[in-house]
Amino acid sequence: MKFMNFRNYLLFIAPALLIYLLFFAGPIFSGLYYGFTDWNGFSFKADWVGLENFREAFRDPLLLTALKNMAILSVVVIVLQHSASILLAVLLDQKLKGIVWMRAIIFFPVILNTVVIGYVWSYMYAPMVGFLPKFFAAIGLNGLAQLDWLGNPSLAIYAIALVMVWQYTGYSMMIYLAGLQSVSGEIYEASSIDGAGPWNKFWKVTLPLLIPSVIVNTVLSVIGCMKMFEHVFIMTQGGPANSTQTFGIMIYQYAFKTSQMGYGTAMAMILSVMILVVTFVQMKLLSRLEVAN
Amino acid sequence: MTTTLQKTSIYTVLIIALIIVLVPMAVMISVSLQTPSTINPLSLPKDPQWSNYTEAFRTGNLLPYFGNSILVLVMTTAAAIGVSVLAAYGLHHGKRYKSDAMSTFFLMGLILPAFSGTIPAFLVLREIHLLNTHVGLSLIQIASGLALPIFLYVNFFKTVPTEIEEAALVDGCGPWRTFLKIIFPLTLPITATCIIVVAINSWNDFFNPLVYLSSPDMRTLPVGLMAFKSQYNTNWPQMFAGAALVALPIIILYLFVQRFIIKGLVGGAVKG
Repeated sequence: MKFMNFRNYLLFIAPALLIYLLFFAGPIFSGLYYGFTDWNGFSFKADWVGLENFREAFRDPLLLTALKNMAILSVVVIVLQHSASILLAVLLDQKLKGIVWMRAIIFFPVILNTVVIGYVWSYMYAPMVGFLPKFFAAIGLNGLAQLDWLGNPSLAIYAIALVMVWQYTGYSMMIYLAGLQSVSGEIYEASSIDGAGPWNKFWKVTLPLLIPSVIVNTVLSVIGCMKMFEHVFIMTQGGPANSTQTFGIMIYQYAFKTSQMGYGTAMAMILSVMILVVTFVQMKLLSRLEVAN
Repeated sequence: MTTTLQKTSIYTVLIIALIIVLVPMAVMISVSLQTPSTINPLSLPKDPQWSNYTEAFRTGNLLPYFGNSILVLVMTTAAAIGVSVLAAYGLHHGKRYKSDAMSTFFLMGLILPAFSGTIPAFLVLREIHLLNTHVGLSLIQIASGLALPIFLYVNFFKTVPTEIEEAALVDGCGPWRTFLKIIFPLTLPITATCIIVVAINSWNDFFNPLVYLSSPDMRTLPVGLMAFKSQYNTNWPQMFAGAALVALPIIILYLFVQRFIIKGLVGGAVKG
C-alpha cells in the first residue's frame, strides 16, 4: 500500500523538523564548529583555534569539580533513590487500601516547580533557623543540628543530591511499577508453590525480571545528574567555593558571565558526547539482554 | 495471603515515605502563614497570616508574571502538539523513506540538555529579532519539548489498525484527509496526555526564560519567583507564600488529572 508519497511525508514532518533544527538540534550541532573557535558570541564570525579550547578545558579545575560532582550525584541517586523506589514499587504493587493515592503523593514532587523546591529546601537546610537544624535539635541530635548543609563545601553537593532523591524517587518508582506489572502473576504463583518466601521471591524472581527497568531507570537518572543545572543554580549557584559546580552551571557562567562563548560551547560538546555515549551503552546492554532472553 | 504483621510493616514503610515527601510541603505552607520574627518550622501557625499571600502577590509583582506564563504556555502547547502529531504521523507512515533514522534524530531531544545549544540558539533568536520576546521563548520550548509528544504519538499510531487507512485509501481519501477526518479524532486521549505534559513542562521551565528573556516585565513566574528571593532575602513567610501561589495551579491540576500526568511523564521512559 503506497499510502503516503515522499512529498507528503516531507510535508508532515516539515514544521516540526524546521523548528527542531533551528532552535534545538542546529544550535547543538553548530557547537561542533564553534567549540573549535575563539568565538565571543557577538556575531556568527569566529576564528579557528583548533583543539585549544579542549586542551584548556581538561586543565580547567572547574571541569574536574564538575566531573567529580557528576559522579557523586550519580552514585548517591543510584544507591538511595533506586533502592527506595524499588522497595516502594514492590510495596505499592499490591491490592491495599489507598494505594492509588499513595502512589500519586509519592510521585507529586516530580511535577513541582524547581524554584519552589529550591526555596523549600534552602529553608529546610538553613543553619540555625531551618527545619532540619531545629528538628535535629528538638530530638537531641545536636551533632546533626550543627551542620551547615548548603554552606559547607564538602557537604553541599550531597545536600543537593538528597533533594534530587526526594524529588525523583516517585518517578523511578513509577517506572519500576510499570516493570513489575508486566511480570505475570503466574511466575509468582509458581514460586509460591515451590515454597519461596517473600524475601526469596524478591531476590530470585522479581529483581532478575526487573533488570531491563533497572537499566532504563538508572541511565535516566545518570543522564539527569549529568544535565544538572536548575537545583544547583537556585540553591547554591555553584558555590560555596565552586564546590557544587556542574556542567550546566559552568556553561551558563562561561556564556553569560564571562562571555567565553567558544570555550563554553566546547564544554557543552564534551557533555553532549558523554551523554550520547552513556545512552549508546544503555541501548547495547538492553539489546544484549533481549538476545540473551 | 498477606499476614497482619506483613500488612502492618508494609503500611509503616509507606507512611514513613509519605511523611518524608509531605513534610517539606507542609513546612512551606505552615511557614507561609507565620510572621517573620516568630517563625517556628516545627509548629503550625497559631494566628494564620493570610495577608502574606496578598502581600506576596502584590510586592512580588506576580500577576503580570502569571499572565506571561499563561501566554507562553498556550503558544507552546498549541504549536508543539500541532507539529508533533503531524510529524509523528509522517514518521509512522514513512518507513520507506528511512523515517526510523529521522525518529532517532528527533528522540535525541529527550536526552541532550537544551543548555548545550544555548549559546548558538541565543544568536539565532537575536538574528531574527525574537530575543527577549515570548514568541522566541515559545519556539525554544517547542523545539526542546517536541521529542516526548512525538514519541507518545508514534507509539499510539502503532496501535491503530492499518485496515482503517486501507479502507480510507480505497474510498479515495489521501493521507491529509484521512489524518484530519479519521486519525486525529482517534488520538484525543493521547492528545490530552501530551497537552498536559507539554503544558507542565512549559509552566515549570526555568532555564529558557532565564536565558532568553532579559527585561523584568517579560519574566515568567519561575524566574519572577527567583527574583523575589534576592529582593526579600530573609522574609521566609512571604517567599513561601509566593512559592505556594506558583505551585497551586499545578497542585489543582494534579488532583484532577494525575493519571494523565503520570502516564505522560513516565510513558516516554517505559516503552523506550
